[in-house]
Amino acid sequence: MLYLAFRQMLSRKKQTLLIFLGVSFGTMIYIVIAGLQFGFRSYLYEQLLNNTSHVLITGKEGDIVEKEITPRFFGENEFVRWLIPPQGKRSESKLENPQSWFDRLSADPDVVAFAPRLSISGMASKSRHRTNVNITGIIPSRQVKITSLEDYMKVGSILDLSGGGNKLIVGSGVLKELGAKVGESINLSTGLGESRPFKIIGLIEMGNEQIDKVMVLGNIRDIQTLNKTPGRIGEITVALVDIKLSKEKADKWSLYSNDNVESWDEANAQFMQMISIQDIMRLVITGAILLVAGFGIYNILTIMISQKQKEIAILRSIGYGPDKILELFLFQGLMLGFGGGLLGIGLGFVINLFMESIELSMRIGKSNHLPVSYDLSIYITAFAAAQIAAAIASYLPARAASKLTPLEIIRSEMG
Amino acid sequence: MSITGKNIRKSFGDPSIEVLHGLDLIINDGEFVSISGRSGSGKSTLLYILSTLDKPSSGEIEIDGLNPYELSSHDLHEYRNKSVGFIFQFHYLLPELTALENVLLGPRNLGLQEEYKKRAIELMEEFEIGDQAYKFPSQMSGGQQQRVAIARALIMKPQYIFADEPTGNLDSITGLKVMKFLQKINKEDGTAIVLVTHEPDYAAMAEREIYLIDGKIASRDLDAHV
Ligand SMILES: Nc1ncnc2c1ncn2[C@@H]1O[C@H](COP(=O)(O)OP(=O)(O)O)[C@@H](O)[C@H]1O
Ligand SMILES: [Mg+2]
Repeated sequence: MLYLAFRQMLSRKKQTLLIFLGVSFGTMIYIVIAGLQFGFRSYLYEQLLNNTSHVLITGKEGDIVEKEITPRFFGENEFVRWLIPPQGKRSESKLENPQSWFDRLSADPDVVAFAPRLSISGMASKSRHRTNVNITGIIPSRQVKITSLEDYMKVGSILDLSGGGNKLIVGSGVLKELGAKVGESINLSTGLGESRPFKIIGLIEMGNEQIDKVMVLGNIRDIQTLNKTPGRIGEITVALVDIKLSKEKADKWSLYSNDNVESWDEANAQFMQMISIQDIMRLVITGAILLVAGFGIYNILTIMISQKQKEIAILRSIGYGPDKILELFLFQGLMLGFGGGLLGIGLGFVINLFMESIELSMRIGKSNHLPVSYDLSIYITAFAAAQIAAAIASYLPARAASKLTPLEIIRSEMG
Repeated sequence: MSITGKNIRKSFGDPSIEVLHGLDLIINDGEFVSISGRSGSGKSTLLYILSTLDKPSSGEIEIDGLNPYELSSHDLHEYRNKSVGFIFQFHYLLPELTALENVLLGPRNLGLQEEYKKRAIELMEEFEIGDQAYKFPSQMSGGQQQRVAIARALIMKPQYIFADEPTGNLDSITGLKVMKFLQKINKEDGTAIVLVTHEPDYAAMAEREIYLIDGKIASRDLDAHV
């Protein structure tokens, strides 16, 4: 019946072409939208410092208490009576007992890697230039297991920070602000006023101006010293064997201490929300297009079947059974779906290539091109959706056609 | 080998109106039978029942001793495919297919189109439409199209041909030609032919005439008439 189905389609070139294009358009749109969405998603995902961390453990942003402040200003042994005691929140977090976390995480078989960090805000300066920076102290060998920072290194390597020695990796924007070069020294200072010289040994560029302008990485021990808080850990990022475990693990671990334990999706709730909105948008748009294409197939077949009653009667009287009649029309719908799906894949791919090739005036991630995903699953999903829409849209009228008996048709044709 | 109808009744509609009132008849192997009568007398209804396209409301049909409605759907379609050829007043050809492809529809159903191609061309030559083989129905005259339809009915060398006013849409010369073809097939191949016609001349060309008046057989054997 494939042969006859093909011939019948060819004899309705215009309608066939129209539906064919409708199906391919739906498929193409899905591929283009999904390609861009997934492309941007993985770009944004990489921008997150903790992109493979599934659980983030942070200290409570504790209240500033009088007892801690007094010795800093007045020396250890002074007794001070405040008229208005100091109050507020510390901007940096601090884990209460990092060592117990290290022990626990090292022993947990579900933990692949973990990396402690200390983030503080400070000021970088070189001669008369100064700029605000976010200084993150890391353990280089551990950090590279948790993030893809290494991919963004322009000069040097994250691992060059190993062993300390007041070395820094700075964002490209920071260099610009300071007018400094790799190999030169700059001063870092914290809110406490002391400043220390550091040597720039590496350059990193995340492709995001806001981040590159403030990003400074150093060895955690150097940063602890700079901050006058030896041994302090601000947060620990943890990678698990399976991201699906993150919620369960976070809930369990949060029972062990006062520290905040957040699973990945909690920590990035906004990102997750954006992803689900995108997903819904993509499904709605593509669903609408496929629905239109499906209705097109349904209509064209329904009209065709009513025009082809005589021929159905002839085929039936020659001994073509109902199943063959079903095939005749089902095949036409499926061919439209199949051909349209293939064309849509081709078009979608080409459009994605084109969009990716456009040179933008801004940097996005590692290049100045739109991030486009060519994930195979996008193409499979698009094609499958077209096939399912076509199958449903052609099965219904084809089944109705197969139920016609030849006599009904002959009688009605005879008037 | 024969088709037997016993006490065939057929009603339509609600309230039901009986159109065929208990007919008994036999179509013997290799016979040429005509069914004639006025318009509305039930000719077509009877033909469809004899050819298994329609079921009688009551009574029985036997084809070669078997009740076709006890056959599986597959066997019934195979019977129609191999043993029966239909010719209708409107020579339904599939417009997307060439004359030759139309003729080969039956064999194609069994995947035998190549094997039957030679016979199809021979048949078409015999019907003087050999030169039309690769034309589409829209490029042929009504008479030519009807002959394609006849060739299509004959391609599988069926045991029975059922023809419902095959000359109804043709001018008298072409109509006569078609009748001659039917006679020839009947004589040379021994194909049984059941022909519905309201034209007495054509009815008389059959070996045996069945004349219907209001759903009853008025004359059983008009052998004397031939
Ligand atoms: N499907 C049907 N529904 C109702 N009445 C029908 C149907 N088919 C045929 N009839 C009636 O049965 C009678 C015989 O019809 P038919 O066999 O077509 O006559 P003929 O072929 O001799 O002209 C007519 O009165 C016709 O109106
Ligand atoms: Mg009739």
